[in-house]
Amino acid sequence: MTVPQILYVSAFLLILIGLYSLLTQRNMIRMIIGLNIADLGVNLFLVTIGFVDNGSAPIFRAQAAAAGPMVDPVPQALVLTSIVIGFGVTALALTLVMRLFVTHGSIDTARIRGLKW
Amino acid sequence: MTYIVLILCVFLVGMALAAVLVKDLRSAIILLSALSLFASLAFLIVAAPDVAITEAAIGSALTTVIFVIALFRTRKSTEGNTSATVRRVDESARAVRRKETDNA
Amino acid sequence: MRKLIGILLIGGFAFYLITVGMGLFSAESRSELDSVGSEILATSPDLSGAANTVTAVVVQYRGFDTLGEVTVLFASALGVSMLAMAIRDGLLQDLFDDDGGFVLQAGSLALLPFIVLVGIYIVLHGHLSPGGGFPGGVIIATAVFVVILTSKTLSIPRGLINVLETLAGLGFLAIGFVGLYSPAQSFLANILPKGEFGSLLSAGFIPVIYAIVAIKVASELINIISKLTAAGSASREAAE
Repeated sequence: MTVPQILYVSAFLLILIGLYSLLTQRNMIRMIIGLNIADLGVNLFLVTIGFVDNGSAPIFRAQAAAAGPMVDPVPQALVLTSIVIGFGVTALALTLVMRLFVTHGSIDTARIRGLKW
Repeated sequence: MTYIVLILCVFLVGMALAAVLVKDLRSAIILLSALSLFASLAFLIVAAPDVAITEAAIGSALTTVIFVIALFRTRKSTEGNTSATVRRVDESARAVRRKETDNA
Repeated sequence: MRKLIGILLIGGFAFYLITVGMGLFSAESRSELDSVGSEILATSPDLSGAANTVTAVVVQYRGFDTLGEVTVLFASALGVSMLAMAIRDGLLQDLFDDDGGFVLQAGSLALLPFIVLVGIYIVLHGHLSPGGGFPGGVIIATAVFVVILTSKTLSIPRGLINVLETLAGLGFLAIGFVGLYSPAQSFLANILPKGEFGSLLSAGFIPVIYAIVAIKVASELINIISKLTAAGSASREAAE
């Protein structure tokens, strides 16, 4: 197996583990942990798409062309913004959980009517 | 190189599984933080240092802080998050302090 | 039952991902994926003057996207602030029973300038080395968190932070409009001189935009955390 293949497989597994946690857990903080893991998997997948074998980071030393191949900078720029947005989503979700705790006294989905499934 | 990546990815997936399956919620949060740190190592391997820096700063520092705040905010006031031992030590410390102020 | 349904759904999703995602690895789609990146790598040094191509993509090629992203972060901070205001009175206890003690407080205050310095360095060298506005802003905010988490009675100058955040947002828009009415006639056009390649004062407006992004990110994150940690105690003190 090559390096990108290993990373594809582990990113795939991270996404599945995160979604499994999101679907089956009853504690809401655990659900958000699952959301974070899936987020990480997606980011790893996107960055690995831009990888080329023996590629160096897309930073020029001088204006002349670099010696070896460089990896694709576009997915890296997208993931850079995606990580920050992911933090915003996590913060908002956790604040909603705190609000739910204040109004319902619990963060267990089985104990809050309307969130049971 | 391939073996390093293989070991790293086993760590990544194992930590994700542990974070989902572990009973204690605090351990799950710390495992998520460690997972973020290892993921930033993986980003470094695919030649993405910008993403690695951002992931290390946000994933392992900020996200952990905000998860811990949420955990503290949602604990029941009766059972509490501090264990009985910690509370007892705390109370005895407070008693010692009170005695000191009385003496002074 | 819930676990069974979860495993079945995840299995279906995995099957979907495998069947759809395999198309990504054909040679044809591979070359299509690489075409944008190779184009940018070829033109970036002349077009933007930034040594770090990721920075060039974030600020110059996709500057409008970055403006949208900062707006999303602002919306998230706004939501957190409003919800924190709503939960403020329902919180029974303060976040911490006690403050961190003298050693932790003094240590965190002594650490503050150095962490801020590292953050500023990372922001200002964003166009030369890995880093930039987003991680730099986060590092500056982290310096303030250390102080917030160790002391119980710290008052954050919220007014100053809000003013900084507003000014940063308006500054981003102002630079965009300057580009619109310049000879280049496009929103967020890089009209400043490029300078010498690889030096600190190069790449036109990229360091300026990244400094603005760093101020905005740092002030929003400090807002979020200070609302969540000190919301209860601050309001009670104000009420008494």
